[in-house]
Amino acid sequence: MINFFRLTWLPALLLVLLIVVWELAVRAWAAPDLIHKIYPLPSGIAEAMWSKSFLLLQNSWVTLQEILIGLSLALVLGFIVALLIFYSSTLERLLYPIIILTQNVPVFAIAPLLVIWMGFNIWPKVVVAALIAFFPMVVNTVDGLRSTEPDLIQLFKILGADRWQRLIHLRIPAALPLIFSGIKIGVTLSVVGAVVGEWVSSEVGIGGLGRLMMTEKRLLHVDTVFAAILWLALLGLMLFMAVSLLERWALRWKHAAEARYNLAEAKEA
Amino acid sequence: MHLNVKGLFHCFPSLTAAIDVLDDVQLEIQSGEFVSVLGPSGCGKSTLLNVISGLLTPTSGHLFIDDVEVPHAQSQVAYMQQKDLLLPWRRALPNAMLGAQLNKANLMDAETEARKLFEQFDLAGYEQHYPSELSGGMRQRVALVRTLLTHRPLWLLDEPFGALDALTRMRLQDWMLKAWENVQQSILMVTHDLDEALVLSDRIYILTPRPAHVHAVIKVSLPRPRDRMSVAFTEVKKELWDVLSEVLSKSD
Repeated sequence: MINFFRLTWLPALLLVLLIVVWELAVRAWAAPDLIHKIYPLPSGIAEAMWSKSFLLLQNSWVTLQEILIGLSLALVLGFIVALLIFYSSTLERLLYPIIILTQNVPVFAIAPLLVIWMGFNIWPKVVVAALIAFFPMVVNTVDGLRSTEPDLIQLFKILGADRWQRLIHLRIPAALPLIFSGIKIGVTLSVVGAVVGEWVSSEVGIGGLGRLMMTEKRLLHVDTVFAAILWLALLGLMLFMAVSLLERWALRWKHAAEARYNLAEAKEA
Repeated sequence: MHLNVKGLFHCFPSLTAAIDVLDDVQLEIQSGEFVSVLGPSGCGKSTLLNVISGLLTPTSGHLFIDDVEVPHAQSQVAYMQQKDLLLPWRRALPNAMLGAQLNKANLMDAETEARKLFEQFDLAGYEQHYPSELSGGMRQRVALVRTLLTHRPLWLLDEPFGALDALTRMRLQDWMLKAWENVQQSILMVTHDLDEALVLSDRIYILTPRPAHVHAVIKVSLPRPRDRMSVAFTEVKKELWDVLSEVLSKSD
């Protein structure tokens, strides 16, 4: 914990300083009737966070659902496709170019079509979030499955392990570090994906943080727009931290030696 | 288990010219015998092990187990090499039980046996440690326990202690001897450490540089445990060194 503060006090100070400069600069130079409408004030954003907290929370929940469903889809499908690519060179030649192609078509271009096809509901946003997180999942999982040490494969063969056992007991555990990197990239991207999906789909009711940003912008509530952005950043950060914690637990063998060493140090002190 | 290798040839195809690695290798391991193979580095010793364990199909040659011809000895073989090949994500005890698990043996029995062996090999108290928390010598001992737990009658050892420092290596040779004296499996060990070959083996095959051919076979009849410092030991070592020098001078 002490370590955490030692690392974060300097960037935190910088952030506070920037916020103060922002507040003062807007107050000093912006035309008074444009403040809160075009130029957001940090104090105004804080106020919006408080007064519109229920609205923000409702919309965050919608966006979070889109992200979680989209990410899960990307994870499951990405893993299956990675296995197909890994085990069949024919499928690799068939699927890889298509996957790379989908990655090169901007999601902004596909999103409106998805809305037309799927309607004004949660699914176009889920699909955009999934699409954008899918690519790093597949690529990292395939690389991970290929990273198994050949000597270990030999050992497993001599011990009589079949393909399935080699996958479960060797290839997947060996691929986990790279799979987790894929999830961490995917989780960040899927936040962007969900918001893009919300932008292009106009819908009555709670449309998520991205939707909220659009409507509030039109009403010239720029403080609320920024409050939504802040919530979005928090959402992304929380998801990233959740995945990191899961990773730390799943790959605890990697930190085992240092953990034991730290424990010994602490006992001595 | 009695293993007999006859007329083994192997050549690796390459773009320019095929590389002959094994040239008419004859080799025999009696049941419960400890046999070493010594030879210049790169002479094809590992290729020999890979052929016996079925990882590689030889160009030609015959393998006999207890006088029955077989394509390879895969299901009879346990294998240890320089790298301990422990799975970093498994704790020591489940690592040692890998073979039993993959062969769907009774895991309760395997665990009881593994715990007993951990006791015997001075690993008690480290069952739940990850490999990264163990020293090189301890990791190799866990690998040794894993090899014992496979209950395979033929052990192939590819420079098993090559990565360890001299002192740890000597201690592990003693552990290996202990493992062998308990089970009496047949062992074929590849090494280029003269002392290691002499401390452990009943017989030592000396191979020529590539393509490998058996140059000489030396019988070591010193009683075990062998004193590395004794006069008799040094005499056999001198004899072994003379033969090896002959082989090495040919390669220049």
